[in-house]
Amino acid sequence: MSDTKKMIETVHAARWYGQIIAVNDVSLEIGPGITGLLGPNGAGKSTLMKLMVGQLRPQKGEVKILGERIWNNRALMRRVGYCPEHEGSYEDLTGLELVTALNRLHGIDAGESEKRAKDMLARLDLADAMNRRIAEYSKGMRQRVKLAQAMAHDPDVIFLDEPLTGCDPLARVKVLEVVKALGDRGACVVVSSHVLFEVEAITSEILLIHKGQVLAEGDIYAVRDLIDKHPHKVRVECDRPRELARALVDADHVLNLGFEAGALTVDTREPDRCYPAIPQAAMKAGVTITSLTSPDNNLQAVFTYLTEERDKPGAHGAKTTAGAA
Amino acid sequence: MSAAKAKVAAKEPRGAIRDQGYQPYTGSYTPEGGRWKLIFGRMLKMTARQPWVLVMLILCIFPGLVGGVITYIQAKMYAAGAAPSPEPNVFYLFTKWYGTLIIGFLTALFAGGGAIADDARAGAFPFYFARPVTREQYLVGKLVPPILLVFCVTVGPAMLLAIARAALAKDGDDAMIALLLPFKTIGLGVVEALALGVPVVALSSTSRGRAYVQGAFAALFLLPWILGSVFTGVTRSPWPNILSIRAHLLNVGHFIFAVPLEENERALPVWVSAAVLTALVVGSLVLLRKRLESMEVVGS
Repeated sequence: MSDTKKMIETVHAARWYGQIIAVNDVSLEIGPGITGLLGPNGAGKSTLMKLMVGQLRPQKGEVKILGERIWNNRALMRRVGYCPEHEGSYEDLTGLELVTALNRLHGIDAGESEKRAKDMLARLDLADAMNRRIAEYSKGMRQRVKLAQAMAHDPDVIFLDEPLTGCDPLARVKVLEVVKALGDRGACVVVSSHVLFEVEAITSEILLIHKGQVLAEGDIYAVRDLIDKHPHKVRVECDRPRELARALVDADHVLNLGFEAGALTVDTREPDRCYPAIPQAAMKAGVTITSLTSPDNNLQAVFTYLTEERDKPGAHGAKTTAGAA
Repeated sequence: MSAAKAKVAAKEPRGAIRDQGYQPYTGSYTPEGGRWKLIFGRMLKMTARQPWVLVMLILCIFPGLVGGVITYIQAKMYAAGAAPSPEPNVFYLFTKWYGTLIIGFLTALFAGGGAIADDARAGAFPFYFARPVTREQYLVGKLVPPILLVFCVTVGPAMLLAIARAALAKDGDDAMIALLLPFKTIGLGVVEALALGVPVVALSSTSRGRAYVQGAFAALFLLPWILGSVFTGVTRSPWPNILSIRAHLLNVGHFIFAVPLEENERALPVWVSAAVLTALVVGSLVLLRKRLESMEVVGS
């Protein structure tokens, strides 16, 4: 691998269906570790993922994996794993049969294919169920079989399209654990999801896509800091919110104050000044603070802000690090 | 972390794979050219799990047995000069409704109906094509099982009958004629297997529903046969049979086995039948390729 920082690279990649542009002039680079591919339904996540997996050919631009074009590159396919979004599977096969058969399509011999299938299914807590027909599996078990087939041949680049769909809480923990381990060992893992807190649990690296374009990429907190137009919200739980509001109302960095049950919300464009000012004001007013949080400082807030901003009439795109935004 | 360790870590390229108990595959890879065999093997296994396919494989024995008994009796009578040669019996076994033709059709229906439709319904394309598998390998792997099974249920009994006929030859000249039967059997068997096996797989690429495919294939095979027979009887012209796969197979069978037309039997010129069957097979292959290309995951 010549440049490990560029395990995935797209250059002005575009793909459309008739009049609808699913992926629009996307240029990006993804390195090792886990990257969350985020976006609302219909944003172009799955199309972008299929372009990156080599299942769709870009109508414009190019998509490279590990420095080589992925389209029609069968040798490269061996180093790629893909867990598609849909739920279908071969109902008549057992989990072990399916994963073994798909391993064999990678060119791995029969014995080794079965061994690897068993290992991976066991890692996903399917050791006891691997010899049962998939028709008898729960939704979460089917999902884990799909994950097993994507990872059993030990790929360097892994694409997981909504990998947690249908998983119960225990299965989610197990899947996230396995995905984290893959990222930790240096594999490039792209996880698409619209359930933001799940992505947040495994990575802070994001790729936010909306209407076929990349709105933001990089570290979620860095992205948040770059959204300068958007006021930062701070939620202060305290015994006397109105007293605290009175103490803060004259501060020039405070844009807006709001009240919730047992809490005060403070909007500011200067969080660095605002955070220390709140406890100081509370001390002066004799207010007891029980909690100080920033509901904005998470993926959901960034996601909501960027997508809403983009949807406003006349908006030219959010100001982010995104190349294509 | 000690300073030395930190120095080493800093020198390591970002993204180096540190194995955590999972060993990268270092063995050899199976040849790419043979990848279709894996798809073929998997499909054959899944086809063999269908009870109706097994029923057809068993049923095809009976016309062969009956034909064998008739051929034995007829050969003895022919040797005694009391009956015509049993030569055309293999041809009858292939082309008559009481032979293996219907069994061949049903085998294609059950074995080929779900060939691609089942994959489309199961969403299997992303699994296949995220691997080093080409469209062509996939197509060959899906086409061969129904063609092979139709070939087995039609050629198997006919071949045994042809061998029995040769063994029962009354003299050297008769044996020489009978010895050509196995080759003729293979010839018509290949035509029949392709004419039945390829269209059903092509139809299978047009839908996710196996039942729809099977209904469409039954209509394609039976309707022109029935309507063609009726209108040919009324008009006394062979042309209403132009769309009948069965009529063309019969016609090609007449040609290969050199069996003359029966009284009142009307047949199209054999080149017309050959052209229609070729167009059917080639058209089906073109449709198959187009369908696979139009599917999102394998767009060219």
